[in-house]
Amino acid sequence: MKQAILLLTLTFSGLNLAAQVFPAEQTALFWGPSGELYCRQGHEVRVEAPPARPSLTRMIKLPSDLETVHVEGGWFWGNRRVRKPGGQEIQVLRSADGAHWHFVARWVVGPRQPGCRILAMGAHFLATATMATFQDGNQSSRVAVLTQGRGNDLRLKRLIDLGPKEGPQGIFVPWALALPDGWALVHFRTGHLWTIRALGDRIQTRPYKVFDKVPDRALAGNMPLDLAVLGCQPGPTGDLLIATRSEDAVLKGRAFAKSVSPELGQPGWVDPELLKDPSPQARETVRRAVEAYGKRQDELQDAVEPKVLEAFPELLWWELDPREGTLRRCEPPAGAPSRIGSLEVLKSFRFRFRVDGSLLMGE
Amino acid sequence: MRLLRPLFASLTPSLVLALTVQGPLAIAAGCFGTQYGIEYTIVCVSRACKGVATHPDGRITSAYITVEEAQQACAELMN
Repeated sequence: MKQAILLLTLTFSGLNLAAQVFPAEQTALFWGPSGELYCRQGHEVRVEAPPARPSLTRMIKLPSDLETVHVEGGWFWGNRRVRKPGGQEIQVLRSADGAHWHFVARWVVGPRQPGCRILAMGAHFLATATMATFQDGNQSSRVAVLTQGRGNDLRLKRLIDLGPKEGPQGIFVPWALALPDGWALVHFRTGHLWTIRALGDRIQTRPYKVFDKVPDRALAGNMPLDLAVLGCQPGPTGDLLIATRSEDAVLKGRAFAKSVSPELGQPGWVDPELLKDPSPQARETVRRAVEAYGKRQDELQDAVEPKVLEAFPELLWWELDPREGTLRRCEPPAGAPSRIGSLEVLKSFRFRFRVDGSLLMGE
Repeated sequence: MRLLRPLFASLTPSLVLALTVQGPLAIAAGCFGTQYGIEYTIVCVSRACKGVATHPDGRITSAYITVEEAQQACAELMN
């Protein structure tokens, strides 16, 4: 109890959160070998079939304890976290139909084996560590290729070099987008991207950066940036379509918001003696203080963010070709906006492809 | 004497009470714990989630995080 209060007061003591608005959660898209499209939202997958294979259309309910469900090589894959005495293991499961799942391999989390998401990639697996690094001798990385030996256990095959000297720090859960022969990882906060492809026995890694002026040290997570990437989806050809804010919005948006509303993100205060007091009166006082503070910050954000959007309304579109290793600006696709008109538009912003390759906004 | 401390923006009241009453336990609205010497506190409210990291050298960093980031991080912290 005492430790909890100590931790609370310690963590609260330096809080200075700048508000930030996230777009809607993306639908995860996976293109199948027959041209079908798997669209995962939460624990449901909708399969859209091409005209030549209408029987592939279906809806699949996924087990609720599966994470990171994806489609690769004609199989459904997923992760399941299992707590065991002394630790945790992440199991990799596979399914032919999305309904019946079978154990394939396990990653035992330990001091040198961080917790991670595990994605199928050809004969191996790609893993992204959430809060720590994979270690190989003196080298470390937040991303690694794992391989299965003779038994069920996965082991580190090699680290993935994320390029910049200062790699991602803190909580690292990049968007993972399926490519025909690998994955693209998108650091949506900074606009750094990487493609990792299994080309025969070779693993090819390429780094990309949407905005030249966003420094690599932004990966450390301690720069006041607006979100760089608002959406990213794989198209039927294997290219990625990416929607971003403008470079000015990313680099200057937070400072602009603070200049308009200096109170935004400033900490509130409560007497810590009240936190220690279990009486109903003290709890009610704390509850009211927190509620009032949160409400005030929400009001400030609601007032400021439209002005930030008004100052930096541009919505930019990009195409990334993982085979050629190119990332370039493109015109907005048919039906796609070039400006973010309002906060509500930003909050609900997302897009995906239909099975015919056309773009669908808002889903 | 008035010794005051800052509060989380938008922190849910039930979370405050849950944390102060229960201590460092995993709870429905978030979690907190230590990973590699860094103390993390993660809370989720209706709009998004927030994470705070207290580093061994005393630095305190914080950020809004997505629900997926919070889920993954809490799974780590609850290990």
